[in-house]
Amino acid sequence: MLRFLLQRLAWTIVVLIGVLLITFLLMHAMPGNPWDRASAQRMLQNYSPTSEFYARLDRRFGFDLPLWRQFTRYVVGDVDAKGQFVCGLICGDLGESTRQLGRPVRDILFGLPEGKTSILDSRVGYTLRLAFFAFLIAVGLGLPIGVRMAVKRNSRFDRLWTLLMTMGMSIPNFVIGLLLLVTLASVLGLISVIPDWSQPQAWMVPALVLAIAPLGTIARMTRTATLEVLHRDYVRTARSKGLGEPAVISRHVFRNALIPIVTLLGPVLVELIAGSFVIEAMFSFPGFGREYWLALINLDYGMIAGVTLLYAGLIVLVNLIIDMLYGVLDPRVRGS
Amino acid sequence: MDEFQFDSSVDDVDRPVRPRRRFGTLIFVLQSKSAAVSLLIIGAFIVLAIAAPLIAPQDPWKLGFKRNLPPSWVQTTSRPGEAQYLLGTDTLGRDIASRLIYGARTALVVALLAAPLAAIFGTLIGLTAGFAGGRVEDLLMRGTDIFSAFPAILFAIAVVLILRAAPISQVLNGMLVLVIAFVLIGWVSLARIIRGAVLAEKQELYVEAARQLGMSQRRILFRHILPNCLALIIVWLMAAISRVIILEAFLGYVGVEISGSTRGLDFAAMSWGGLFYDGRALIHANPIVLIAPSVCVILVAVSFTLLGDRLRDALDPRVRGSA
Repeated sequence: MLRFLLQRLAWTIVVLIGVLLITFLLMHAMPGNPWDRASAQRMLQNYSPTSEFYARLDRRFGFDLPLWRQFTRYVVGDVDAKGQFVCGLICGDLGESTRQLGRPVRDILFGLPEGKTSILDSRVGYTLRLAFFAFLIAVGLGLPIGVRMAVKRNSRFDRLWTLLMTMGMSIPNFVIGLLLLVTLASVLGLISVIPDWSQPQAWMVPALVLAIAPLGTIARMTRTATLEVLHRDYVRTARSKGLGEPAVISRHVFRNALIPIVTLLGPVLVELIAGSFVIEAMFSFPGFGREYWLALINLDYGMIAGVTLLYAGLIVLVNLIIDMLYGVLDPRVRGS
Repeated sequence: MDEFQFDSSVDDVDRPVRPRRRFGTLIFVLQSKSAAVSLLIIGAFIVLAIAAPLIAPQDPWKLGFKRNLPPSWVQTTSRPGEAQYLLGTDTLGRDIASRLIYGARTALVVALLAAPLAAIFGTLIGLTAGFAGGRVEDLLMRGTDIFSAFPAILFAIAVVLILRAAPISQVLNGMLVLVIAFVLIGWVSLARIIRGAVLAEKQELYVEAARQLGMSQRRILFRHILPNCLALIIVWLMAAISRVIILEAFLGYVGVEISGSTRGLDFAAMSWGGLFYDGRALIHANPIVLIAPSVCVILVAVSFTLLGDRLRDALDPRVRGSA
């Protein structure tokens, strides 16, 4: 087990370096530079910048270096103008934002607002909490609905929910979010457009909107997986030895149906984390997804690299956890 | 190898088995009400896309002075709608209904190009990885690991932003950019699925039999293993088509097709994504700008998903027997 974990950890580092390398190539392939974007121009207009000024900015952020030097500067670190070594990613430094003129990316992502002490109140904390709530809704509703659909196969309940879940899966969440926001906030006035996020009920609508698509995926997968095991021999054995129907379903059918569902949970959680940025922007949610979007269109090199790394790290972590869970649930996998 | 030597005797063996009835799959699909309706909806949108210049009442590019008109059935406000603009006009005076009809063209062209291309790419990678094994498999699967660690949507946005400024954005009225973006993010999941399937099929007896008959590796791979993975690929393809259509709408909505420091893509004016983008600003003045493309995207995406479900049942003999 330890050997397996160490191997996976080593591989994780390789994946992250690969992701970073591709990100570097991609973002430097984008046309323009961070200083010609609207937001930077707005910020610099008081300085009436000259080309010499831009050159100094470039030097400050290391953009005058060749690309490979910028990469090593980011990963390992580099000697600054005063001859002192500044450590890079290996010390946990995620770079500096150009859009926010030199503010460390780590501070933007993990920094706490005034008067807060819990890490949950940072931007990352907010996004992860939202994704987690949506995940809970999707799993909490998807599993029982899926099992019921399978048990009552081809009934009216089954057909109705299959259609509903298929629709939920195929309707883009930004459409649902937009329509909900208009009806609930503007027409009915039930929720505030700029809510107070310390109130739990404010989280309900965005979490629900995020949860709809994964809910459909999970419910449908649960139905298929349950159908698969429903007519197995061991289920018939359990029934014939006189076990009650609820016990058969929960202990024999559900436990075994869970294995293919667990493999699905990884991608679902990943999609919730990576796909939340539109919903965040729509509901003015203080997560980091929105920051990433702003970084992309403003070509904030440090921020793009830092947040892509964070996303990749989260995705790899989720997959690792799912793999380990798989081993716990299915004893047959444990050996290999 | 010595394939040619055995060719004549082997020919009967690896000819794919004909289905019992010629249109068996199609008939099975049409027996389901939801699948038949889905097929009808998809057909209607394809007709709409092909005959867009004949059906659309106006030129979707034509700017006009009648701006922000409400739909034609709204007669109560100070500015009543006009019959020639069925769904009203946008902020530049373009006809919404015409943009919607041409939008079907964009969505379907992008989807029907991107999804099969991604499928081919993913299948080839998956087949190679699963069949070759060893070093090649390691290398390919590690590559997919890196690709799948990217947040997919954001990767697509970055690709579109990059290609939008390149000369490639002229090809196919700019639609090629979206196609490339989807192919780059789409192939990963299929490659995984196909590799898994090939690993399972490799153990089957018929592969061993084919090998004993002296067939070449390539022949076993493409004429024996690939046809057995075809059901998986087709089902994936259907899901991928809905995903591309949603992606197109999404990229339009967040403004990647249109806004930015450089110019947008040429087709954005006549895409559902472009309508979403304009609809955000008109959400109170004329909500139909937002609702109309929503309905279209939902109809097409749900239809393809339902059709894919039924196709999976049709292609999976186990389900087919019991249903």
